[in-house]
Amino acid sequence: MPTEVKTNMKRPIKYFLIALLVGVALYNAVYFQPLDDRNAAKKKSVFDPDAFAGAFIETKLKELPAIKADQFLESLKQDLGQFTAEKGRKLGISNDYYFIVEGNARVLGIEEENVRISLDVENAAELRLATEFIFGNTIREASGMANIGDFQNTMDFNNISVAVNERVRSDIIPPFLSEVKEGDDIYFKGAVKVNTKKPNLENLRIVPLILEIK
Amino acid sequence: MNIKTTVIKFQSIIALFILCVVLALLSDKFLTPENGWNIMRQISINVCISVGMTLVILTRGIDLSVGSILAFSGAVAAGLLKYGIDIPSLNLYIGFTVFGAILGGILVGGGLGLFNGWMITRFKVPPFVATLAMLTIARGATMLWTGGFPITGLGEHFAFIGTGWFLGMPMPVWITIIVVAIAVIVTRSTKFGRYVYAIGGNESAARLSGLNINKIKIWVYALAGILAAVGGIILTSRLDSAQPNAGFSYELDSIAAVVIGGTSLSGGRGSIMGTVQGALIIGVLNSGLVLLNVSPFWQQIIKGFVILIAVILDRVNHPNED
Repeated sequence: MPTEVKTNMKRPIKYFLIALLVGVALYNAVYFQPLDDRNAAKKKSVFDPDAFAGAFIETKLKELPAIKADQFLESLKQDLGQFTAEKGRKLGISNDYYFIVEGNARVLGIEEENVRISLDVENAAELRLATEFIFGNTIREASGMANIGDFQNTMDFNNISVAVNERVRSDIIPPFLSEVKEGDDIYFKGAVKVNTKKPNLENLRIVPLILEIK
Repeated sequence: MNIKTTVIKFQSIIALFILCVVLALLSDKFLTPENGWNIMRQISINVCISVGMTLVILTRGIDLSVGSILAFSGAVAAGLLKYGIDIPSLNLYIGFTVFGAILGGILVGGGLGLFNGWMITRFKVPPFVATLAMLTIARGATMLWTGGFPITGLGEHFAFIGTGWFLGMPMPVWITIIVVAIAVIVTRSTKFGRYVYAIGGNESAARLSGLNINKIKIWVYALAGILAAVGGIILTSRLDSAQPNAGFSYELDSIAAVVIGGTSLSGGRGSIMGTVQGALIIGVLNSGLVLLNVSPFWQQIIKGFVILIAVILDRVNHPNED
């Protein structure tokens, strides 16, 4: 068979194989969906940090295990390292440990950014309940309400803190502040951060989660 | 072959061997399997880029855009995988599989490389200038594509490329071995490989011999772009995120690996395996300096001197080249 004829026969086969290859590649590379369906599904699956924070406060907060505040302080004084390692929560390799504490206390004073309290026990230490500047991840980390490994998007994880802090600022602190007076007996449950390198135990600041005037 | 010629031929391997011995003596953590795999994983991206850079430098060119192309290709792959493409006018969403996203990233890398080659051959823009322009264009495109934010959460299948193990070896190392093997075969045993050397050795002679110089050069830059994209996909997968500033100054590490590996900046002389050795020297040096707790500032200075010494040795050994 002449070479020219051979080449002419080969060409369609070559193009067919290339087209086949491209077809197979494209078939395995992309898929199609109506955009409306996609957007509807996306809306459903979008993480709502406000709803997550709300559900936590309404359903899980009351039952959230907490350490008695006086025991907490005593244990920190006795063996800071061991206590924080055993009972605290922390994120990554930080020296910050987080705890949920609760207790009964008497209001000593109402300041611009805090309410000073004294625990309802003998030789009680003074503590501060934060009423302003509720920022950071103290509540999220102390409560263990969310695990970073469960979130593909770190923005979602960070937004949980933003949402829960906002709830505390808007729903928990204002009703308490409008009624509380010096000398009131109260019950509190809140989150606290302790840095093992700079513990500053005389000046611990509790971010409140439950505040009840007795 | 006398001793001097042998030493010159194997200078990269000798340097690597001496470096390993010295570092093993200075740090007991250096000669461990974990550190060995770490070095291999870390150099895999540089090797991929440097293979492309070797081809470019062999033609007496240079490609300063590989770091930016790496970033853009990685970002495109990540964006396609995570967000797909919306076409509201057709009420159509085009989703991409992991394979599709990788293909998309590689096509973008190849396209940008092709553009580099076209600028250099069609408009006679010097490679330094054309690829410097592409460095800025691709970096800007990456910023536009990502909006300046990382694209994260790409899924475990995509992450396998950069973090997975296959037959007892990390995936990036497998990919690098395949890339190097193909490049070695292409440069040693194909017409295209010979043409690349011929162009770098004497472009006029190659043209007079009937070679289509422009076509070969365009292919070389396209390949450099494709290999930068491969590096970008490995990096994006390893980090599970496409960072807008990924690959910053990778072109310099790549040029360093090529030069240390004995490829002449004047073109026409060098080898892929030499480049692999150059990348290994840089990787081993980086790892050793970290293990020895040397300040990152000193690390840069030391690396700079190593590159200088490599170039000086090259000039001393080949005094008659331009």
